[in-house]
Amino acid sequence: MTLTLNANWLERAQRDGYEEVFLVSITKGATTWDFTDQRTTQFSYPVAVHSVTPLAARMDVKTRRLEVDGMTVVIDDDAIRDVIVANRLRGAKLRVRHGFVDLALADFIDYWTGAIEAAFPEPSDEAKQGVVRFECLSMLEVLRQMATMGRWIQKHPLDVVYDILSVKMALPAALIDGTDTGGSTYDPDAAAYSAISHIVVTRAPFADYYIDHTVRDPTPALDLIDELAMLLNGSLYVNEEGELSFAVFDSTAASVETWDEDTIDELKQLSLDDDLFNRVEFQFMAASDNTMQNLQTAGLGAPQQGRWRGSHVVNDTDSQTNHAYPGMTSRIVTHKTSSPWIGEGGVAARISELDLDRNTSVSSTATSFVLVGALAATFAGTRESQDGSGSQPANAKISAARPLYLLTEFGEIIKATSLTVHAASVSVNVTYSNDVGGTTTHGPYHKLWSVSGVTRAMFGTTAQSFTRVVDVTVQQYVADQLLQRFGNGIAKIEVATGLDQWDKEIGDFISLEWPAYLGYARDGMTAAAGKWEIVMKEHVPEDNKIRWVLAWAGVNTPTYSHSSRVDPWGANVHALAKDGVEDDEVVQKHKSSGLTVSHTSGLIGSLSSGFASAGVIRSENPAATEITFRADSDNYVFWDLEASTAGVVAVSRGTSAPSASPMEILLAVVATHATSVFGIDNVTNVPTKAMNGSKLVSESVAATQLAPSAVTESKLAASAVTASAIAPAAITTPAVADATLGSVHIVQNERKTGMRYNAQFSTAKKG
Amino acid sequence: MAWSSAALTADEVTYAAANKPILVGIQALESPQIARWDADGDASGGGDISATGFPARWSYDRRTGKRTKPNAGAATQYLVYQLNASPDDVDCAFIQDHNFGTIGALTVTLEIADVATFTGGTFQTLATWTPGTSNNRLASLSLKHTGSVALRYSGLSYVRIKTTGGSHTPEIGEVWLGRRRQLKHKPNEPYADLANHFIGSQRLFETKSGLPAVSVRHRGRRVLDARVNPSDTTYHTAVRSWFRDTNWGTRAFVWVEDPAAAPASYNLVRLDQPDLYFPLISGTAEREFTIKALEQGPDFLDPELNP
Repeated sequence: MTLTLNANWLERAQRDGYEEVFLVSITKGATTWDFTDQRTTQFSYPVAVHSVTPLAARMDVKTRRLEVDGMTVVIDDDAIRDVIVANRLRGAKLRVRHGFVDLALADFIDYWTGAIEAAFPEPSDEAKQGVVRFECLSMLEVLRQMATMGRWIQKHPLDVVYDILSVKMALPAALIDGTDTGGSTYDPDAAAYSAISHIVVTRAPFADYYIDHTVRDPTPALDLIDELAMLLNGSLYVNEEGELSFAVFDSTAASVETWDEDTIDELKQLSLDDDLFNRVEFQFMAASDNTMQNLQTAGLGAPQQGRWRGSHVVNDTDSQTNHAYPGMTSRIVTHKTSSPWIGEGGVAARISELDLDRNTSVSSTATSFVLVGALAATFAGTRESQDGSGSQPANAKISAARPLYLLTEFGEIIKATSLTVHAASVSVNVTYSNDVGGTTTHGPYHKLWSVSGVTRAMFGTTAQSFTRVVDVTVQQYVADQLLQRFGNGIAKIEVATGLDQWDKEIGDFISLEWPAYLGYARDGMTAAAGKWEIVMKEHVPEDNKIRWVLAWAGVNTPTYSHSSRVDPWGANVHALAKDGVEDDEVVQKHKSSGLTVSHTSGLIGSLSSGFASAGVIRSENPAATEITFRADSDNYVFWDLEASTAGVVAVSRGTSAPSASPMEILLAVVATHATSVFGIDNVTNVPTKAMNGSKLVSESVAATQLAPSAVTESKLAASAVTASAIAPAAITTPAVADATLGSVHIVQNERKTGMRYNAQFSTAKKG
Repeated sequence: MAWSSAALTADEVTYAAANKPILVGIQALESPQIARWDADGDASGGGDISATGFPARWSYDRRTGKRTKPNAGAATQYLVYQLNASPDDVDCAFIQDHNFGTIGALTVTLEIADVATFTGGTFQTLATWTPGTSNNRLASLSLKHTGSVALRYSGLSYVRIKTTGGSHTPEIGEVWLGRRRQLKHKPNEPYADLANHFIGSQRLFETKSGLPAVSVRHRGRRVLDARVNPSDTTYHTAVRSWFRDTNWGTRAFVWVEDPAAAPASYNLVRLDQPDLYFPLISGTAEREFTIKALEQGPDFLDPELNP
C-alpha cells in the first residue's frame, strides 16, 4: 500500500525547517475551488484554510476492518461564501493535498479525499469575517452510509466486492483503484490472490431447495464488503487519493523500511500478546432462518432432508498448552465467527454415478467420489463453471496448492486436490422473482462434481463411511490464517516518526532495530527478527510527527486439532455456543454431577441426568438418555459440552482409546459382545471440579498467607476434622511448639457422686 | 459628490518628515457601492470581469492572502471602486500582496474622479508606482493630484487602480486607502523598532538519537510593543481617533514606522487585545498608552524585504 512520494516533496520533508502547506480543493461537477493555509511561491490560491483535521486511520488486526477518520476543514467565510451561495456542496468531493511553500503544485501529495457531508457556517458578528466548517466523510464512511441489496451466485469474493462498488454503488472508475488503469486489485486471478482464487461465495435463492441468502434488506455496502474481506483475510481500504483498494495480509511480503533510533523518538510496548486466541469456531448454516433446511440430497429434484447446522472448530493445541492457568493443562480462548456467504448447505456424496439415486455411502477408504446436488455449485473451486463443459479459468480450480476441504456428517475432514464437473449435461437453474414482477433465471449450474486427489481423515479426524458433505474450505482457510497469527497473541508497539515517513501506510510492513525491546524470545528487536504491520497512522501536526501503532506480523506453525461437525438433525448443536459470549475462555472441562452410564438391556444403556461445565459453558443432560452401543466393541461414551449430547465412538475391543476433542469429556467405556453389554467402566478420573485438591501441592498456602484468625472456630463445622482424618503421628511433638496451645483443658469423667462444686474439670500444664 | 482636497496639517507634515510613526485605522474602500475589475475602467457600464472565485472584495478586507484578479489578461487593467456614500477622508495609499513584480514593467496608478467614466476635470491621478520586478508592498504617504505637497482628500466617489504594461493579469491582495493619525514622538525606550523584534512559530520533532525535524509555521513576524506619551490634546485626539478607526481595536491597521525614510516599510498589524488604556500620568496633559500588536500574516514585512 506504500505511497509513492515524489522526490521534491521528500526533499522538502527532510529539510531542516520546512514550511508545510495544506491545499484544499472542493469539486462540484466540473468546477473546482482551491484554497491553501499558507502563502506559496509556486502558485497562487487564496490563503483561506484555517485548519485541517489531521489524518488518522486504523485497522482492527483481527477483523482487518479499516477505519479512516472523517475530515474537518475550516475555511474562511469570505473565501467560500460565494461558493456556498451558488452550489449545493453536500456530497461534493473534498480533497486535501500536502506540500511545502516552495513546492510546485504537481509535487503536492494527496493527504485525504472524501465527500462533504455537512457545512456549518460559524460567522462572527460581522459578515464575511467568520469561518465555515466542513465535516467530510472518507469514502469508506460513504460506503457505510449507502445501503444495497443483491444476489450473487458462484462468485469470488473480490468479484462481489467489485460488483458492489462499480455496479451497486455505481462509483466512478476514478474512485476504484486500478479500474481506470487496468490494475488487478479486484481480479481474483491476479498473482497476489493465487492462494485464494478458488474461494466461492453465494447469496441467492435456491428456491426449489428452500435456501435463500439473498440480501433482501438494505444493508450498508461496507458491511457486505467487510464480510467478504474477512473470508480472504483482507481489507478494503481507501488510499489518500480517495480510491477504494483491496489488499490481503501476506506475511511473506517484504518490509518497506527499517526504523531505528534515527527514525523514531521512543518505542512504547503496548502489549506482548494482544488478541490472543487459540481456537477458531466458524459457524455456518446458521439456524436463524429457514436456511436451516439446507441439505440437498440425491440431487435430481428430491426434497431437502434434514436441518443442518455446522461448526468448523480448529484448535491450536500448542497455544492452549502454553497459556494454561496455574494447575491447568490447557486454556482455550475462542474466537467465534460466521459468514452468511458460505456454507449454503450440504450435498450428497456417492461413490459413483451408478449410485446417484441410491442411498449408499462412500466407504471410509474411498479416495474419489461424486458430489450430488445443486449446492455443489456453491463449493470452492466451482467459479465460472457455467458453460456446457464446465471449463474454468485455471486459477478458479481446486489444485494441490488450493485444496478443497469437505466435512462429512460424521466429522471427518477430507482434503481433495481436484474438483471437476462430473456430467456436463446435468445442471440446474436458479429462478427467482425479480424486481419488476417477473422471474429471472440464472444458470445453468452443474450439480454433479467429481472429487479426486483425496486425503482422508485430515487433521486427526477419523475416516468413516459417509453420505453427506459440506464445504469447509473457506472455514479452514480463515481458521488457519487466524491461528497462525493469533495463537500466541500479537505484540503491539507505538512509535512516532517525522513527516518524512509519510509514505508508509496501514498494512505496510516495517522492520525495527531497537535494542531495548523485550518479549518472549526477544531480548532486543532486530530487523532480522521479523516484521511489523502498521495498524494505525495518525498525523500529529502540533508535535510535527506521525504516530504509528505496529502489530507483530510474524506467523506461527501451530499444531492443530479439529472438532468440526455438522448436525443433520439440528436439535442441539451449538445451542450453547450460539448463545454464549462472543469469545470465551475455558478454564477446565469437568463433570459437575450425574452423567453416569448404566446398562439397561442388551446393547442398550442409559446416561443419567447431570451437569458438566467448562469455563462459562454449562452443559446439562436434563433427563436420562438412552444410548445404543455397538456390538463386539469397546464403546467410548463422550459428553459433548457444546452440543449437550452424548456420543459413542466404538472401536474394536482392546484397541487404544480414541481421543476426546477439546470440548468432550470421556464418561465411560462400555464393553460389548455380540448381543449385550458385559462391562461398564464409568471413568473415574474425569475432573469433577473446575479446580481440585490435587492441584494444591505442598505448601500451596504458606503460613504467611493465612492472616490471624483466617480460619475461625465458627468456620469449622462440627466434626470438620475427625480423628480418622488425622493420620497417626500427623501431629508430632516438634510440630506443636511449647505454649502454642496454652492451658490444656482435660475432660474428666463426671463424678456421679460426691461431686464437689466445679470439680468436673482440672487444669494442667501442657508438656 | 465632488471630491475636495486640503493640505495636511503642519504638524502632520513636520512629524512625518521626522520619521515619527503613523497609525492608519481607516480603510476607506470598505463597504463600497462598486468594487470590480472593469475592462475599460468605466464604472458606469460594463460589468465585473473578476475571475470566478477571486472577487474584488478581497482587495479591501484588511487581510492579505486572498488575491483578487481579472478573468483575462490585458495590457491595461482596472480595479474600480465607487466608495460608500459617506466616504472617509483619504491621505495615504498602500498596495500589498501583489504580483506586479512577477509580471514586470508595470505602471500602477491610483486614480480618482467624480464621475463613473473617469473623465473630465475631476479625473486625477493621485499616485504612481513602477514596481519593476519587485512584489514588495507599495505605499504613498503623499497623495496629490497637483503641486508638491501631500494632500488629504474628502468626498471621494470613484477610485481605481490602473495597471499598464504588456498583456497581464494582475493579482492584488489588498488596496488600502487610509487616513493617517500622526504621532509626535517615537515610542519610549526601551523600544524595539523596525526589524528588531520578531517571533516565529515552529514544531519540533526529535528522534531518540536527537535528529531534529522542524516544521516552520511562520517566521519573521514583527512584534510591536510601543509605549507613547502624547502630551497635548491634538495627539490625545489622534490616538482616540485611531482607536475608533479600528472599530475600537477589533480591526487590523497600518503602522508606518519611518514615514519619511521608508514609507513602504509598514506593518499590517492587529492589537493583541482590543483595548485602549490612555490615562493621565502627569498633570493634566500627559497621557500614556501602549500598543501591543502582532503583524498579521501571511505576508510579513521583513521576510518580504529580505527573502
